[in-house]
Amino acid sequence: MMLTRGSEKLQAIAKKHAFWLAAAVSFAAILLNLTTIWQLCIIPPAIGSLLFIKERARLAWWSGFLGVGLSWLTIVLYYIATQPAMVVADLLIWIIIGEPGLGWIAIVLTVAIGACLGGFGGVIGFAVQRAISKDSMGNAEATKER
Amino acid sequence: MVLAAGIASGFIVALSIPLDPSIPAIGNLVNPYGGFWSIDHGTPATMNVDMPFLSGQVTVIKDAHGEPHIYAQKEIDAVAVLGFLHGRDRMFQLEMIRRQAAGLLAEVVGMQALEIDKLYRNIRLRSAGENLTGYVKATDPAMYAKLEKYVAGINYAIDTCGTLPLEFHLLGIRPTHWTPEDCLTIEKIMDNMLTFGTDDVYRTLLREGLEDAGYASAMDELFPRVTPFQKPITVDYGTAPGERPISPFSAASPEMANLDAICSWIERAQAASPIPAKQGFGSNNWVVGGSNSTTGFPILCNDMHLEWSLPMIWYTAHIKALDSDMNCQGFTLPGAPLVIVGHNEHVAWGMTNAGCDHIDWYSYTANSTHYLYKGTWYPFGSVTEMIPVKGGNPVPFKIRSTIHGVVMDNGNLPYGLAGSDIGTVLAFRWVALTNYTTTFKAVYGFDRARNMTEFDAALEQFSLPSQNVVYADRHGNISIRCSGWVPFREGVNATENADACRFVLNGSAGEHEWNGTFIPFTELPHSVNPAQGYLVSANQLSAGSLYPYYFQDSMDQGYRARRINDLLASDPSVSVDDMAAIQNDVYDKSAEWLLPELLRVFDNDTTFPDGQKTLLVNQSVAILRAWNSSTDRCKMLKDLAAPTIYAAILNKYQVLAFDELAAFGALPALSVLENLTLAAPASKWFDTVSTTGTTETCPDIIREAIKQGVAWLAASKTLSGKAPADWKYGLVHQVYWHHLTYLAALAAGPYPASGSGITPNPSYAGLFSSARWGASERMIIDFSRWDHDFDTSKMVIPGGSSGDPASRHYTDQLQLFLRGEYHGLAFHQTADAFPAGTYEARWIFT
Repeated sequence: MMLTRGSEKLQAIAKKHAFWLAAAVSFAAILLNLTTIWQLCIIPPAIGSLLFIKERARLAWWSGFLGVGLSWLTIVLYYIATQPAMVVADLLIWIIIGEPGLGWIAIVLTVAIGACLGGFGGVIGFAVQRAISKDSMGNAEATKER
Repeated sequence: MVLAAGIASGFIVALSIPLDPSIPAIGNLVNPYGGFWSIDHGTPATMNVDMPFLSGQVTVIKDAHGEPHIYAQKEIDAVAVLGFLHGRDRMFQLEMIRRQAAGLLAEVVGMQALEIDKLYRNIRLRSAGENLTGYVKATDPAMYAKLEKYVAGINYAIDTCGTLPLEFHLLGIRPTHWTPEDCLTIEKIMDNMLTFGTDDVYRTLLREGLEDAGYASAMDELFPRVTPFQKPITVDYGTAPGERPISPFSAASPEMANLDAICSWIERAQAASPIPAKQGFGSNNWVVGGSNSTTGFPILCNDMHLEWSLPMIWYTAHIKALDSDMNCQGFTLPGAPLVIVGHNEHVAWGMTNAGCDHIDWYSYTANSTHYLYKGTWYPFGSVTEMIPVKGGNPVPFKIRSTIHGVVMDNGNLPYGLAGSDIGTVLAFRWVALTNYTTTFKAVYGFDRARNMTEFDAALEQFSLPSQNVVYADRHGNISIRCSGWVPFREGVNATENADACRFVLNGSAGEHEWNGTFIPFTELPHSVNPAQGYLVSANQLSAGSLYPYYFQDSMDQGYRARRINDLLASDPSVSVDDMAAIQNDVYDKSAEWLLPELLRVFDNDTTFPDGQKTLLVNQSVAILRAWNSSTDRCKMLKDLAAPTIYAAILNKYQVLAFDELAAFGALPALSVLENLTLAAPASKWFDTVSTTGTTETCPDIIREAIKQGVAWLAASKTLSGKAPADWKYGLVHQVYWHHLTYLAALAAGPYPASGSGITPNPSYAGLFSSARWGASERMIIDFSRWDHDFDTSKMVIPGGSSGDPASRHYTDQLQLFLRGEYHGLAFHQTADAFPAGTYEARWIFT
């Protein structure tokens, strides 16, 4: 019951501060860069939607998608600005598909992977939250019946 | 929830594991958390590196080309920092060298490299490196200590590099820590590159085939050990000897199938190796004494010809240590803590391959377990190794040996003769495996030598690969010495059985056994301060007919040497710029004799009737005629059409003249054809086999070569539709640098190029293909400015200091090289002596 009530409060905060929620997810994802384990990027959106998103799975998906996607884009742009990373991107895509000068595909691919990872994280967090909510509701009903 | 978690897990797993052994995990590759985006490509202008195993401070200046100048209190620390720099700039190259030599490529690239691994395990490079390490550890603790510090430097670079270079991401591997064994295996790799080969086996196959086809005299006449017009490297042993008869070989024909299979396997595996495995003959070095230079001091030049790759095999460095005599600069080999070719403040040296015979091949009568030797059956020695294979189970590989050495067998060779367990096996005896070589010790001596006495003392230790080592010092001395351990064979010297060891020997009979000793160092060919004032080597014959020993089984046909000798002999006062011009010279010596012959045949109505002179032929010959009378005569310049036409005709001339050899895929040296053209135009070899009732002579073949050469060019896809005047040589003759992975995206070229395979500036390729080897470095050392940091001397490598494709030092020197330019040495004696703006980084190691 307490959890459900707390969750509702957080939902209200999420609706009010959706931008900052996405920013927080992005920031957390960027911080995870220190770990060099890219798969961990599924965690911030999962926690975000677990705590803040109750009503719509689509919102959970898109907040994770945008949050992590933006964070990966930010990191990629940082490397492009500070290193000849775009040269390597061109070479890499040339190696993979056999055509030079298509390094932008590496950016799209990278951001898409990060965004999808975030989206999946968001949906998982949302699903966990829904499962917990259902469980709480079920417990509440059972208490009433007793 | 379960569905969401399942899809997410599948997504992550799919991106985290390679879907195929040849494709890296895409998520690992492109993520910005350790994927390719985060590779550090930078050269920070300042950097402090805390290397816990240093005993004093080391300062490194990275000059404008990213080449390091290492200033250390202690030599041992300088060596450690060189290891760090090799590791930092050439990490993938180091990994490939180590894996190739050890037969561990299949572990990272899969089954496609299995045959390469089998080859390298079969020739025992790694095993020899390990044995040599034990020897060095026991006999030369100081050298072993250096090796340990050096590998500590490499490993420190591996451990601290952060995100790995791109190639590691592509292969999905991590670099392996280096050991002293890896370093000494590098020495064996060079031995393999420059002295291991199946030439004896190939020649045996060719001789058998020629004899079977009815050309018993062909081997003597067309493939002599000493080709015509040789000008020996040394001047103290007379002129070139004539040809000698070849000793008989009694192998039965069925054995040839095995020999052929072994040759084919080795050639295929060598061709696919990332690190060059077998080189053709190439390299120039020469030195001019003070009497023949504008400066009154010696000038020494060297350009070693090796396979072109990115990164290049060499890494230029300057190492100075205050606690020793170490103050040398030149070309280091990643994996070895030494300057292999270069100079110090006292002496300079350069190398060309000498082609000495360090290996013999033996065939035996054998069954599956034993081989016959001098009438007794002996069991094979045997060891089985497991070859790890990416994406598959380890493959067992059995290596057998005889009394002479290792049996070559990839496990797939035809073995027993029909209906019998008796067959033939082929083994080799090679100095690289039979003796503890001391080449590292020699090179370390070069780096610190202060005069000719010290240098020669070091050179005596230079065991393999045999080299013609040219020398100069600031006192005005010049010399050239053939170095290396060349075994004495029973019953073989310069005038007796000299050709026997160029073919497969009868191992079962114990034919021409090694007697366990080598030609003494002082008796190897050498010349010191010759009256002519200069010395030249370009892989040609080392010594004239007065030299008493058999020692050289392979040599270049000599056109580069003749051209360089011509240029130096005609100029009694050469400058540094003259030397650079010689290194970039693209004068084709063969055109000097063939071009007038072509025009003479064309102008003679009898040999070339007007009715056969088509418009294209007339236009083409007119272009050749203009070339012959121009200042660019014989120069294979990429912007001219004449070299294209000349090269096509020359190609056809060789093929048509020796049509008997078409089935064997062999062509004699061009100098053999030169000799026949000038001295025996009615030779039987000019008669075309396929015609009956007529006897063709040299002019007939030249006429056909002109017609067919021009027709070949006109029909080619590259030149089709173009007028002969537009058949620019650069369209059909180009140069190319492959990457160690053979990925085209990481390669350089093809670039249109001047030169040919026999010009002093070489690019070894036929028409319509890209040359893939030539000069691997160029160096000119002018001793007139030894006391001014050699500020008039020059160097360049066709690549750059960095192995990182995104670094500006990946190919910055390649552009200089293609323009025929160099960079200065910046041989400053302190780090502070570098003027501001002339270097890009200053790093402190503590």
